[in-house]
Amino acid sequence: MPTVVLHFDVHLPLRLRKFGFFDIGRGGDYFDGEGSRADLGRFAEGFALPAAALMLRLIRRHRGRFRVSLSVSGMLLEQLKKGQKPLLESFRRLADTGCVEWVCSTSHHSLASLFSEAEFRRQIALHRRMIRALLGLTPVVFRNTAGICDEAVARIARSMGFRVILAGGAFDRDEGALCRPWGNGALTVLPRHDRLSDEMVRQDPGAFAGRLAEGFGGDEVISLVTECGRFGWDDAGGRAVMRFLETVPGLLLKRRNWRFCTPSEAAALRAPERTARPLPSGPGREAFLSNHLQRDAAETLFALEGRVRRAGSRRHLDTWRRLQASDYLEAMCTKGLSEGDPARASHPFASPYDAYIHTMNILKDFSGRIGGESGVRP
Amino acid sequence: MFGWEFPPAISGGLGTACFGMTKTLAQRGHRITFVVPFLPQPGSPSHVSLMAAPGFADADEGGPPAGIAVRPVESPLRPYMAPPAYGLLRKSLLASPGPYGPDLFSELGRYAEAAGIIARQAPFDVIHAHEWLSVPAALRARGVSGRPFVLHVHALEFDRSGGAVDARIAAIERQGLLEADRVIAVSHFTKRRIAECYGIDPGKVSVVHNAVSRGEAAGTTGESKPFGGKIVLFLGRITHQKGPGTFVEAAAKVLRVLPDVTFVMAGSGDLMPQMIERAAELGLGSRFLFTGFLRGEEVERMYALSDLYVMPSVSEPFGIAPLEAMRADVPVIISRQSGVAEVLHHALQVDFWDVDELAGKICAVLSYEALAREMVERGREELETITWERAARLIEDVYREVTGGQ
Repeated sequence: MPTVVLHFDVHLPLRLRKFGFFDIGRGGDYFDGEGSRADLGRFAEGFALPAAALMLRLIRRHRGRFRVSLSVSGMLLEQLKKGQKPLLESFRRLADTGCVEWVCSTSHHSLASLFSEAEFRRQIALHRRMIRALLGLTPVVFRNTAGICDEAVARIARSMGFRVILAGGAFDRDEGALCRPWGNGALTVLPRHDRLSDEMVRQDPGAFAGRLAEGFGGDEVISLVTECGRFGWDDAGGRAVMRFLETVPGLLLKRRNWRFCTPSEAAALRAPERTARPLPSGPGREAFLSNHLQRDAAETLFALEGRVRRAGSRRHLDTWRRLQASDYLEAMCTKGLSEGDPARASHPFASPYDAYIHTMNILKDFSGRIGGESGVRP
Repeated sequence: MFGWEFPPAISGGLGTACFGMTKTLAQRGHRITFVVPFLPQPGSPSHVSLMAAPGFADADEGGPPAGIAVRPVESPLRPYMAPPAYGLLRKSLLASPGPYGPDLFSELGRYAEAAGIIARQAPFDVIHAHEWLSVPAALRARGVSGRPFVLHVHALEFDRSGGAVDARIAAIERQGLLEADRVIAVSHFTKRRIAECYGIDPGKVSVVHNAVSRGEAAGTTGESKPFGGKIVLFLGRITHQKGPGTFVEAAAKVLRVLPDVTFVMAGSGDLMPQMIERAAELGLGSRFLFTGFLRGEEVERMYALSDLYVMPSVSEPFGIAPLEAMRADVPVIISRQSGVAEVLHHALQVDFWDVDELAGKICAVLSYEALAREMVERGREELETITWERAARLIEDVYREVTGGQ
């Protein structure tokens, strides 16, 4: 009986303010409150609310046979508390059905796993507390930002009590290959099926369901993972997810031999077939640290950790964490720029260079603030 | 092809562009007769009028590239020329102004006569004329030969003059745009301007971006700086069109926070005295230098010394200089109001009027080392794609269109 594990990573960063070089040391805000609220409205109304409502309908229509998992970043949850109560309410209703598994991640959609184990652990703990407080659930499944997973991540997740990890696809990328859960002690790792995950939002949903039904017939577990980061800007992505949800679960569930599972259900279903070393997986360094801009900005940011901690200020710590959102680094990607990268349109900064400049100006200013100086002059 | 400059006798981007373009077209099998006005140097034999003359060939290459025949026509016409400048130049031509026309416009007529003669002599399929100055010559050549006429617009009178449009020039430009069988614009920016300023149907205008020749005069390495600190360069004619004022104001802002930077304004032009005065007024002193007009090797050396090149043009139909700076591994900031911004993605862009933004970005490039490094490395890759090959293919499409597909 083939099993589908559906996972949506739901996250929205705060919008950075345009922070010029001459704003350094002048005490301005880093985040654009008004712009962030507008983004949140667009994200909620353009994608998240209709998608949540549709999931709820699917759960009712299929009497619990439709199951899904979500990770909602702490950064988004914080914004929801202030600005989008209805979306928070829909998440709660989804949680109440028992058909949705809540997955823990890093609270600020951070790449801390690549830079600081201490901060990584703290963000996981923070996200778990937020989920507990807002939804009354204790997550047992972990997914690192962007699905980054390696031995260290697996070790940390296990030591923090998680039983399952959703990882980026590390193997079984071949056409027709099965996606088996593989284990590491008490931990089960579910790798994302990269090819199918990409196709699910690109192909016609009817044809996609048909190909799944034809291609699989054994006991495969197929993990379909979608990052819904900037949906609502780029309406194509949001629409594709909606079309998928409207069509594919219905078609597959009509066949009696297909089922949907949450990650922990899928992991409990079968013992891991083999024990494999967790290979580094997910987009990781490639996507976020592929150029000089991204590496420099990330290193500058995480180099501040010690000083932020010593400063002992709650506010500085919050700010530092918010600046860790992976989106800010992603906006500095220069690959494909010459060919006219379509993803650019959804970034607040016109070019990756602008994204880098404004971020670096903010980091320079922030560095001055935590040092207790009233204004730094570079 | 009616052009205005050909190496080594060049004063701006037009000559560089014509050279790169014709060289590549010739390599692709086209035969080009390049007609160019030329003024004999005092002392050198005069009256060479309608024969290929030495002095126009690239000295290093021992002649123009194969496939290109340069036809110099003796005339004091110069690119970027305005009526008063013609008057001055004519007066300065020793005692005898020769057979040249008494003013710019009658000289254009005389030049067109010569064009007509050449058109009768040489066989050709297409008349490809650069800029408004060639319009009378191209029209005459078409009248004589009946061949189609393609007008290649590198700049419009509206861009050059900064508002003080010479109605006579505009009239010739309009006539050329209306009569041409096809128009080539160096950017979408220029295409829009052609439609806006002259009401020309955009459907008649093809966009062919300029390029840089590969490998040609690659960055001079090992250039040691004569003084410490970083150097920010403006290189171009110091005229309204190039936005030198923004550069001076931005320099003052930058120097307040990064006092160790040196700004260099290279080039000459009618706004130079004003810029010197303004720099002095702002107290920029030895941190703001003027080099005067630079040529050939000096330009290369200047690029090699620079840490950043800035082109804050008010209105730049294309702007080839940033590409040359990038070829020398210098990061560049360009004005959003430039045609080159359409093809450069690894350059920073600013609005020409925004002194704060420009100053901020200059500071960023000088302060954040990773920024310059990324721009230079990615820019190098991008330059590989901005080739005359690509431009030549698009020009061939235009030729095919006007000649009915051969």
